[in-house]
Amino acid sequence: MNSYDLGYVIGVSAGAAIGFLLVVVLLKFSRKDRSLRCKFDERQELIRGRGFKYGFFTLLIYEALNMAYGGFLERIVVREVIMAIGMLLGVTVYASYAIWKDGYFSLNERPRRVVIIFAVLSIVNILLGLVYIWRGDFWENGVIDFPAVNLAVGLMLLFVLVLLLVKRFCGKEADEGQEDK
Amino acid sequence: MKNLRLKAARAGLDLSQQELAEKVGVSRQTINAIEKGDYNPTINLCIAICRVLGKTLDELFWKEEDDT
Repeated sequence: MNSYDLGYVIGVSAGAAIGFLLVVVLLKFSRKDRSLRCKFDERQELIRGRGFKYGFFTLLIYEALNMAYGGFLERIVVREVIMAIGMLLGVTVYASYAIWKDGYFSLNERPRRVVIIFAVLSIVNILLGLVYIWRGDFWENGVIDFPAVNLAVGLMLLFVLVLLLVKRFCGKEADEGQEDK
Repeated sequence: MKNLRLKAARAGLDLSQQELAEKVGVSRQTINAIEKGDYNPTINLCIAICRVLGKTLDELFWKEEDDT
């Protein structure tokens, strides 16, 4: 292991440790203030469980395909991007199912705030991806490089955002007549 | 199968789905799904709904033979 590799491993480990600490602090904080904790009812828990299952199987199938065709794919896309796309696909399947079945938002969550956060993150990531393409950092020696993850994340968030808006619109139409007193 | 008795009991108290959901502690979509027959609630949720609406389990959730 040369000094670059060692620095890389130390850097990634330090980042992961800080992330883990941040999660621990947030969880501890949320225990004191219960309003920060997401509360779901029994139907939502059921839907989310099914969503996780579909997301897991999506990732499993993707990894099987990756094992079969990854060697070819790595000629045009770096391994990190291939792995990231698998994770994004799993998360997208979970989120899409949960959104469509009304299990995504907790009882104490404001959907509008989530939509705004998703919109901002989507725009930032897509813009970053476009900047990388414009600067020529998107490819290296004809292979799609790590910056492509930004574009993939941005597009995933955009898809989830559109789905949220469509569901909101469809939900309002479907509920008309159901909400009568 | 739609639960028209639940809908009628809710309407009888002049409660919207949202108001009933808040009193029971679930989402409005869950009340909607129960009324439409898309979701079968657990016994705990059935009891919670009955308590809010002042009805018994039989009155709201017992399936009669003529229920279709």
